[in-house]
Amino acid sequence: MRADMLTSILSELNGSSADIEASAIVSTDGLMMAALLPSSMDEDRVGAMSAALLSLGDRTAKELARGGLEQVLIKGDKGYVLMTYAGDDAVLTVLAKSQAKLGLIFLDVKRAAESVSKVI
Amino acid sequence: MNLDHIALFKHVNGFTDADSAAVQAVSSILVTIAPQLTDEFYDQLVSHPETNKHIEGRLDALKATHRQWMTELFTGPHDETFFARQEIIGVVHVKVKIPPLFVSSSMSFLRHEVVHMLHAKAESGELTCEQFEAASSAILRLLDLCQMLIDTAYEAERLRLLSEVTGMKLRLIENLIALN
Ligand code: HEM
Repeated sequence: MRADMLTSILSELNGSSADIEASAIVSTDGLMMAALLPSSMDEDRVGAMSAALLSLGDRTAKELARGGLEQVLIKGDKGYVLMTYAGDDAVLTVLAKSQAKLGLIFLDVKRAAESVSKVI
Repeated sequence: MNLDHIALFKHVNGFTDADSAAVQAVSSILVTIAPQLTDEFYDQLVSHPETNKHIEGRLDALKATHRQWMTELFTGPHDETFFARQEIIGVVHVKVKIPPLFVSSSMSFLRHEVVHMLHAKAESGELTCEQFEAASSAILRLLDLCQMLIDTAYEAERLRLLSEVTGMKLRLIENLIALN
């Protein structure tokens, strides 16, 4: 039931922009809660790595006096990985194309993260 | 403390209540080797510059603690309190940043020395051959158990420190390790 609701949030998010290629919701201990990922991607890996990066980002922002963490952004030559908290106990991870308009994606992701936090 | 792990360890390594009894039966003789064993243990640690760094200036205090530890090992009881103590010893060593290599090598030294000294007690007639065999094999098993508990505490404490520094939950760290 909850998984279905989370999947439908992801589905809406992926549909909101052609630049969003995949997304997932992960618990802060790295376990996958819902995912719309390409079949070539290992869910366990995406889950654990997302949660780890967000934890490290959180800690880095605090240590370096950047305040509360809003997001972690990774840029590769084939696109972006964007991670953000969805409530206190979950992480929303989004994969976007390299030409993506980040401003719009940030807005969509923020909205989706709020919806996720209401469900969990 | 994970009592299931301790039970499994004892089952596989063979340490039984009879072993504990064999040690306690001759404990009055065993405790007499504690001072010399402690001195030799620290002579060995002082003799290397890396291990000596951790000991300089506190040798007498460390020897006193070590003699006490040996006495508990020899007199028992080898119960939950004893096992919990070994885990705390592990935590103390992590906190003062003693590398696990130093603990495992010094434990190895102890294993050899304890048998050597007990053998001398058998040769002098203070221990019978049977007492020597029963006590030394029980003590070797106990030392292995102590080391397992110290090692476990090391591992747990190192993961805890990693968790503290990175903000990653322990479950997350375990999940990351399990990815391999
Ligand atoms: C067989 C291996 C060892 C055993 C059984 C052992 C035993 C002990 C015990 C029982 C304590 C007291 C713990 C407490 O306060 O509750 C202790 C503390 C300590 N040990 Fe060891 N030890 C071992 C190896 C080593 C080695 C290899 C070093 C250094 C090279 C070392 C350095 C220390 C230091 C510095 C402390 C004092 C910690 C503090 O309170 O500041 N130990 N050890």
